[in-house]
Amino acid sequence: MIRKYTVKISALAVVLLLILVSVCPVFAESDTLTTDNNSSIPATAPTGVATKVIEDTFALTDDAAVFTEIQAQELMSELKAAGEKTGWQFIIHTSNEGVSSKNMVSHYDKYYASQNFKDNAIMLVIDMRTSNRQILSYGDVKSYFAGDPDRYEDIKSAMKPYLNTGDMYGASQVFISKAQKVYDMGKTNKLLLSLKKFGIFIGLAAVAVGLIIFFVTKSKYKHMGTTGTYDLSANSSVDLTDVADDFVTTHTTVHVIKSDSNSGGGSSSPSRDGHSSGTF
Amino acid sequence: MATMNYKCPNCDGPLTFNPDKQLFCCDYCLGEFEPAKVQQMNEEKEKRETYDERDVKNAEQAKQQAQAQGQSTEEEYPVSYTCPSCGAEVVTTSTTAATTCFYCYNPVVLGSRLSGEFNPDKVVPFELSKEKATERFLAMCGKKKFLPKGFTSESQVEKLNGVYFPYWFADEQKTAHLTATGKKIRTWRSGNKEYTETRIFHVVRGGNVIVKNVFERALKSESREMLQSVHPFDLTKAQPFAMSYLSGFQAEKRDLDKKDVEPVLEKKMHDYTEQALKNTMEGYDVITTESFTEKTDLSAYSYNLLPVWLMTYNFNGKLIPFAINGQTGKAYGQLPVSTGKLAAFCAIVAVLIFILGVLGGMLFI
Repeated sequence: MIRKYTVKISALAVVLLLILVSVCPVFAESDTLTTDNNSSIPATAPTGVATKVIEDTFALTDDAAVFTEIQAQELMSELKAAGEKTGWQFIIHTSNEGVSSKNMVSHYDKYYASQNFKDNAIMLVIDMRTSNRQILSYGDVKSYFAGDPDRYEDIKSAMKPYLNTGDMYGASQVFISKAQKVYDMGKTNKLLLSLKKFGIFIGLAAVAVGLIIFFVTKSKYKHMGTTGTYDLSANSSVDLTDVADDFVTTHTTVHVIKSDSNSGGGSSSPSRDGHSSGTF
Repeated sequence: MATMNYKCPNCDGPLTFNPDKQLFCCDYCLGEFEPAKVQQMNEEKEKRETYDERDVKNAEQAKQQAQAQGQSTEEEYPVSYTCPSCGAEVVTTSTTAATTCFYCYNPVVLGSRLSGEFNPDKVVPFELSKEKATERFLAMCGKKKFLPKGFTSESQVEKLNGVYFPYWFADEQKTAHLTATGKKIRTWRSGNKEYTETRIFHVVRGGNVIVKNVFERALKSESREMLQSVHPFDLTKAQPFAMSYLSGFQAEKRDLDKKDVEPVLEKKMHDYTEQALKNTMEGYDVITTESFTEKTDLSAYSYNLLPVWLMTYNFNGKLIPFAINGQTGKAYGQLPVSTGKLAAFCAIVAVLIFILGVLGGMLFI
């Protein structure tokens, strides 16, 4: 008796757990990083000196001359520290090329390829003419962002206040610190992301399938065999003495068939490029 | 006492009817005897042993008194008899006509129950042996994974009892007349138009209709659905009733009179007669009855015993009957479901779907 109820309770518990797991959101690590805004350095206008330094752990190619010399030095120091910590190459690239937002990814992919940067790299691009900004990741760094747009969003939203005031230096500092935070969080967990993204739907579908199986099986067991039938043809005979089939009337109805003029349009699937990126 | 059993003329052991051989067999000396011979041997004994209705009457009087006092009539009133083999007291319900002694396991036929007005007209002997009925039962249960643990156990299967259940049968010859509206419908297409032509006919059919073997249970204590659902039986194999066929099986005496089932059977025959005439209206897509009249010319009712292998299972305090037609092997009944087993299975399926779904979702990330 106890065993019977234990089985039932266990089954019920599993179903409830399923529902709970599917309904509750999966919490990622909380993003509590504060921006490292060095207030001693003023917000910059593009009045600095063009800088181009490429090292193993970082690159600063300030073609738009956004940063002052001091800011550039400071940034290089931070980029180097971040690069050494993560093993990635941290790249900040500014330009006045005026690349449209649509072409940012392809254009700066080519730029990345042309500069002989490291395979594992994260690059912040600031186009001063169009005010377009892009974060691009390459190699192993992609797996830290894959499938989790929140990580890009987190960096972007932290940078936004600085970008809005034209403080590219402050924005760059936030980029460096936030990117390190992503490194600290580790590679994206696809399983958790799948759970977060589809868990509720899959959970509900699984419970629905389980319930359908339960009730269909139960009803199948309820009645075995067909109900008793009386074979009328085998047990009856008719000797007809009065037969008449008199035609009375006829009528015809006409139904106009509507032609099916709706033709389905073709569908296209979005193309995918080979890297992770975030535009803002 | 109005009890008897059938003994082997060779060794005096108990004789039982063997469905496979359609012969009476002795389990001790392995003797086999034709039914006619056994009936001939026991004819005098049956007459001598079945005159005493006193115990049955006492039980029925007790039941009538209970009814008059407004008490439940579902209760069975036990009647005791003496086993002719071992002398033990055999306690039965007031409708039991054949059983087995609980002490010596010898078959006992309570002849008085099936004498006089309760004497059946015909009996369809068992054709399906207990072994074959068990095979049918286990074969069907074998595919079911959510039966309670003990449902197919040996002790449970042992409970499979061969029971002769009483039924009323009716045959009628009628003069019937049916008028109806018949419709022939033809549909075709031309261009973007669909035409539907309906031709209407006044249809008349009249004549003599014979409807046979319309049945209704004659025992109110058993589930009507179960008793009706084990049909059909092949009544061409029915034999004139002989008490000896009951040896080795259980048998129930009817407790529904002809007048109790007559309205049900009349309604069935009315419907069947109309349907039989309708079946002669061929070529119509729709037939709507306008008028139907009938007059019964000949009517015959009979009370027959039909063979059923029956098992009852106590599941969560509820008795679930399971029946197998003792002639054709057709099974009918409810199978109990172990809710715990089924719920566990469904939960596992749901968890698997969830896991596979989440893993599959990774492909889209």
